[in-house]
Amino acid sequence: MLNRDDILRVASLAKLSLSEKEVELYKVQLSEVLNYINKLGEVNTGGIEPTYHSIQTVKNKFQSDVGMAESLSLAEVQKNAKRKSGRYIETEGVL
Amino acid sequence: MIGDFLDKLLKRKITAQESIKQYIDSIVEHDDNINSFISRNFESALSRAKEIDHIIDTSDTPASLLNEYPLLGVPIAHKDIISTKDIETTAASNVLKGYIPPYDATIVNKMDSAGAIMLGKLNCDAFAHGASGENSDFGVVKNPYDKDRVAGGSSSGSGAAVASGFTIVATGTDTGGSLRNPASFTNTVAIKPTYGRVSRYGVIAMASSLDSVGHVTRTVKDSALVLQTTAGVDSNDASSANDSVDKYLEKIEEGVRGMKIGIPKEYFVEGLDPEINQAIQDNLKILEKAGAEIIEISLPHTEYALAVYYIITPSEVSSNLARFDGIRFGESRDKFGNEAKRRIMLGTYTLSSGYYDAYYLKAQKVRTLVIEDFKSAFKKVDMILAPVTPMHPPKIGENVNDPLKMYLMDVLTVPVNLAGLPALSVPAGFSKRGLPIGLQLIGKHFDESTLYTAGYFIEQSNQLYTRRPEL
Repeated sequence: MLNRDDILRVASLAKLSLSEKEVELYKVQLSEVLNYINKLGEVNTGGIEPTYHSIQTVKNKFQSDVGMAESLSLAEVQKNAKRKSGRYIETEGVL
Repeated sequence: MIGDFLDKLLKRKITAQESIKQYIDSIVEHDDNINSFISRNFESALSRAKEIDHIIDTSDTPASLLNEYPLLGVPIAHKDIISTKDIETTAASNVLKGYIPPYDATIVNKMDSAGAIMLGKLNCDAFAHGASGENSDFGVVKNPYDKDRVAGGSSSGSGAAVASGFTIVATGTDTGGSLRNPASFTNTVAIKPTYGRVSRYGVIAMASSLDSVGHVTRTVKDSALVLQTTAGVDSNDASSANDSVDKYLEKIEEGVRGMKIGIPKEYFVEGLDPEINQAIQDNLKILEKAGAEIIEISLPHTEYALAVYYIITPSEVSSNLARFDGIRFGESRDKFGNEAKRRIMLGTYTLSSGYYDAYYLKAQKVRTLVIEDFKSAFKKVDMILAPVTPMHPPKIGENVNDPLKMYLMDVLTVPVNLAGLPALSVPAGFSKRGLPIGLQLIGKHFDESTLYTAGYFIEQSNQLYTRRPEL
């Protein structure tokens, strides 16, 4: 049910580069999974609200509730980056 | 176990350094055959043990040290999706190979402050995606009870390391069964606390509305003792719960008389291995004899819970794994393994324009129905008892090329995560082939205490914790 274009489109959205073999493999495997998932169509959810959060007692917390947190130092932030320059982390140009 | 250990330690029948050395020797001797550790932290562990011996030896009142250090000298290990400052944290994936976190997860901090000694980082399915341990980029973890079989997942190293005696406590996470599954496959105890009970700060996120941080131990009392340290609200985790933390050991020996235990009929359908069913029934008889009331209940939307889970989880995964861009940290996205790629793709699809309503929104509505099932059941019972997996630990390689079959392993565990409920997995029996079988106790939100009381009773009745694998 998923075709090659679906796989390529989704891979592009997800910034994943796939080999031809992977495109074929995932097309089959993901179609199987989606097929299973489609059984949700049997369930009547008219008037049912979605649940995004299972614990009702948790509410939004804002900085004013908890105060200013500690931050990482520049050195710590840059530590794991492959390319850095001065106070920056370098990346490929996108423009 | 921890109780006995602390007693010996404080009476100086053993020093922290002697104890840690024993665990290190055991890991060095046997873990090459099990592969439960990704990285070892032995030098620091010995150094910390030395500090702890110094604390004990210079204290006027050693016994009172336990107030400040309830896990004094206790050897622990963390699942490698939990950030440890200055210590490589890979999530068992090549994407994070060589990644050194600049901070500790809250659970690491808490256990460290409690005096625990960390031996290393444990192997698991990469990014916690899996139910067998076979999705690790660092090799599969072998089941100590049968090395041709998987140790379960995704917290595979956690189950195997505790079962093998390499550590007393192993932390882990449970998003769809990832603590309960390996515990039930390795004859150990695992707690999946209520969502929000234990801080997720510093834990590499899988599905943010489902992830629950817990741990594996050999005994129920050990599990309760550790939760006493790790539970509690954390200002660094906005989803952590303000609810007060119980004293988990207080009523643990009270027994099960008068407890109403629900048995969900939908969990016992055809497809459940008969030996697993028998182990559950045997334990139920013992509970009944001790005065518990066994009540059949129905959770009618159980058959849809797995589909709900396999929409919500990949959706949330695709969002959480978007941060791995190889720019600020980590390697490039082409280093993701097959399962991570599959879940990212599936989640991107189900959240994409034109499909969001049919998939993600629909799944969250059915999720409400799954939660309502539990709410109705908990009007009649105090806890629910069920098997953990429908089948025994598969042979290594059996399901790794069949993602859907692998997903079906989660069918009995995911409903708990959707509802944010706590669940305790305890040993229930062994198959004729000598494979461990676990059962899970599912409780009301924040009612881990009741699970521990029932779990302790079951453990003391069947004494399975005394059984060890031959390494």
